[in-house]
Amino acid sequence: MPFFNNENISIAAMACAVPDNLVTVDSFSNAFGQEVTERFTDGTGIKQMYKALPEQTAGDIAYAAAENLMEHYPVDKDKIGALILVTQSPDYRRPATACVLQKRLGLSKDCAVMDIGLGCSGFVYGLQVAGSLMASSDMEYAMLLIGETASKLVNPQDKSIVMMYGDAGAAVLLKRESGNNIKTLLRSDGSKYEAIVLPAGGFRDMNPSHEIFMCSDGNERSLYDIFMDGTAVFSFSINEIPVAIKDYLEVVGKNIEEFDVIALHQANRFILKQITKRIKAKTEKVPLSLDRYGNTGGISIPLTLCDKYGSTDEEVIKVLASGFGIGLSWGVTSFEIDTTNIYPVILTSDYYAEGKFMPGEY
Amino acid sequence: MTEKEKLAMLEETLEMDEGTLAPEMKLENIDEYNSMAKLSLIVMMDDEFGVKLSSAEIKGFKTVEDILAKMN
Repeated sequence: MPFFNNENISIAAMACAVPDNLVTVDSFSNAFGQEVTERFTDGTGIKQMYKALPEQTAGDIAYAAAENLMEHYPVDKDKIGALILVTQSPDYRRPATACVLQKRLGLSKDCAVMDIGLGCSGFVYGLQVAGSLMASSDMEYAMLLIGETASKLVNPQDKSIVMMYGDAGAAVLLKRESGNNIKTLLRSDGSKYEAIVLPAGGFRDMNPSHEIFMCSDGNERSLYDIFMDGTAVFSFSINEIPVAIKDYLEVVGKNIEEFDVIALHQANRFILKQITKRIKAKTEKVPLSLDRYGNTGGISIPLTLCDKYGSTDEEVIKVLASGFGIGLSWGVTSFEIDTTNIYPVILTSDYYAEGKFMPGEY
Repeated sequence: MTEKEKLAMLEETLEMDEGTLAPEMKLENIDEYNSMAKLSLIVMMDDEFGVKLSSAEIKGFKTVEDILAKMN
């Protein structure tokens, strides 16, 4: 089983940012009708989300989160030995956006830098990769960033997801700390890669037609829009996640009551409710942030923690977290964190203007 | 479980009034059979019958009878 134990590593601090552009589900009533928007909120629990401004990238929002983290938690940048960005909305086809962020954040050359192309499982996968890099080196800190602007890849007429995706960025600082371990379980099922897919623009089909066609779920899309098989993703979520959490608890020898908070990927309220029931967790231990932020992919776990504990101080909490989605990919992890080092969610409208290339100017 | 009991369970899952469903009814004509209802159906089938419906099976359902046949 891909179960990992990173010894003497802890999460030092956590910060999140969302674009300064609030969009309410209600604002879609003109386009889709009030019955559709009300039914959507009833079913998913989502009332509003923040969508990236046209100029803003996932890298920009993750950068704002990282800057916010380092303002609260001053760290010697030369001691950050790894920078990882989890995103599926990179700034460029190449290079990795993490390299751009290394420059923007002013990190040293003594730093291992890479992107990881995952979505909703990204926090758990990213945490494990950063933890592994630390565990097999002597670096003092590693910075995990997660950024997503999935809202830019949705057909505006797609009633199933245009009101669901919110954009956001997260920064998680890992540090070396004796006696503290982070244990993680990772799983994946590539046989279901078609369940959430954006077919065009990759190298399988780089430049197909932008023609709009009717999909099997009754929504119109082009090959450049995200498609999600909602029932397949739902079945996966309510079956695999409870099993993975039970397997995880068995390996670490703990039961669900020993955790103060169960931070689940904020997919939709119905999925969270089913998973909560199946893992026999108390509802009050499973915080919701999706009502105000929508589904923010891999950021949703840190975002939920920043939302709940951002203004809480001096209490160490035991967190069990599970991220799951596109790939399909999922994981479970747990950690302790001092809520003093979980910061309030900030709004950002900043973007990296000099990152835009102009013909003839380079 | 009798057919009547299965129908009652399905009506409850789809949040419909008792006695409104009949086996021969076409699902495409039932307003309540929307995307959220399909998710409730997945949960009910798993919780009550231990049946894990696949996305393809759900797409294959045309009538109420097709669903009843899986409720075993």
